[in-house]
Amino acid sequence: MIKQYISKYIFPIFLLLFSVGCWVDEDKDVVEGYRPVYGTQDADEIKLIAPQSIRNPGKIYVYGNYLLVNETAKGIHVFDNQNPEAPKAVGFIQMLGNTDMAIRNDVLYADHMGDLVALEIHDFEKLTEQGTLPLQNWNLGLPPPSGAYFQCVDASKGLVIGWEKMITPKTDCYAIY
Amino acid sequence: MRFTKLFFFCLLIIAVGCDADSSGSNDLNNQGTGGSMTRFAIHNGFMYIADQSSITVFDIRNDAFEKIKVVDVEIGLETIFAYGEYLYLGANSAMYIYSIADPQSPTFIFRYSHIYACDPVVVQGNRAYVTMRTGSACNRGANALEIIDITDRNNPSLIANYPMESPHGLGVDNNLLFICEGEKGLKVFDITQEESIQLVTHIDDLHAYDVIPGNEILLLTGDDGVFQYHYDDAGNLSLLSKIPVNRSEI
Repeated sequence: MIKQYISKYIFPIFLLLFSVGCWVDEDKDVVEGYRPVYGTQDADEIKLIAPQSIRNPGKIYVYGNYLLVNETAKGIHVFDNQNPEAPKAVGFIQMLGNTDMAIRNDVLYADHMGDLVALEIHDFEKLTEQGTLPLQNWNLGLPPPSGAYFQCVDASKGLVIGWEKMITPKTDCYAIY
Repeated sequence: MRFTKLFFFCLLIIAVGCDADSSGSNDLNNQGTGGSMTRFAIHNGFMYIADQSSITVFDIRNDAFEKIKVVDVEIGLETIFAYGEYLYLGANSAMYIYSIADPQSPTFIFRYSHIYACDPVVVQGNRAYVTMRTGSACNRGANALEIIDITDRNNPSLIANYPMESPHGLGVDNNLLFICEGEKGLKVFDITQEESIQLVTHIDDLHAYDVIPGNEILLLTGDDGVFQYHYDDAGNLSLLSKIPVNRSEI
C-alpha cells in the first residue's frame, strides 16, 4: 500500500521537482545507460579552429551573411551563408559549455563555462577577446539523455561535454525532463 | 482648429504605426537574429540574458562591456524575446512581459500564467505566440499553441488555443507561423484567420527544434541537421540546402 503510494505520487513529484533526479532501480544490478564524457583542461581555451562536423546541434544565429550553429556544450560552427543553397563552413569556435550566442557590431557574445565572453570576430579570421563577465544561475554542461540511467556527474572531473552508452550499475542517476 | 485636430490625429496614427513596426531592434543592420529558444536578447545597445531565474542586463554600447543590473523573476525561465520596448520571457509556468522603456532597468508588467505554460514565445505586432509541450520539466498538460492578444500589455488575453503534437521552437513572419514539432517535423500555418489558423505545409521526415524565418528564407535546426528553405506568402517551402549531422556520439 505504502509502496504503491510512493510509486504513484512521490516518485513523479520527486522527478518533477528535480528534473534530473537520482533513483535506485531495485530490480536489476545493471542497466543500459550513459557515462559522462568530461572536457579536458586544454579544451577550456577559446579558439577558432578548422571546420568540424556537426554532431549535436543546438541553437542557431544569423548575422549578416554568417550562420552560426551551436554544438551543444562544445562551441559554435561558423558558416558563410551568402548563398543559402550552399553554406560554406568557415571554422569552429571551440568554447566549452556554450549554448547561447548573439552578435552586435562584429562582437560575439557567448557563454563559456558559465561566463559571458565578448569576442571581436574579424570576419571569423581570428578572434580577439574583449572581456569576460560571470553569469549567474547558468546551467553548465550537457544534460544526459532524457528517460535513461546515467552515471552520476562528478563536477570535480570537469564539465560534461558528451554522453557515451554503457552498462551502468544500479545505483546510478536517472534523468527525465 | 480643424487643422489642429487633424494634425493630432495624424500624429496619433504615426505613433501607432511606429509601435507596430518596431521589430525588436532599432539597429538591425549591425546585430543578428536568434531563434526562439535563445536566452540572449539585444536591444538598443543593451543585452538581456535570461538565466534560470533572472534577467541580467549588460551594457554593450560602443566599447562598453559591463554588467549593470540583475532583475529576479522566478525559477524556470527558458527563453527571452525582445520586441519593441518589451521583453517577453518564456518560463515553465508563465509568460512574462517586462518593459525596457528604461533599457537599463527592465520593469515587470505582466505575468501571463497558465497551468500548461512552458517554452518559447515570439511576438509580432500585438500578438504573442506561445507553445507548450509535455515531456519537459513542466509536464502537466497538453501540447498546444496559444495566440495571445497583447494590445494591452497590462492585461493580455487569449485569442485561441490549438492542439499541437510536440511543439518546440517557433517563428512568425507576417501571415505565416512556423512551428517545430520535434520528431513530428515542421508545420507551417497561415494565421490570417486567428481563430481558425490553417495548416499549409507539414514536413514530417525530419526532427525540428528551432527556426529563424526572414526574407523568404527559413533556417531550421534539429537532430538531423540544419536545413534552409525558401518560402512564399502561401507557405510553400522548397529545400535549398542541408548541413548534415554526423552523430557518432550524442
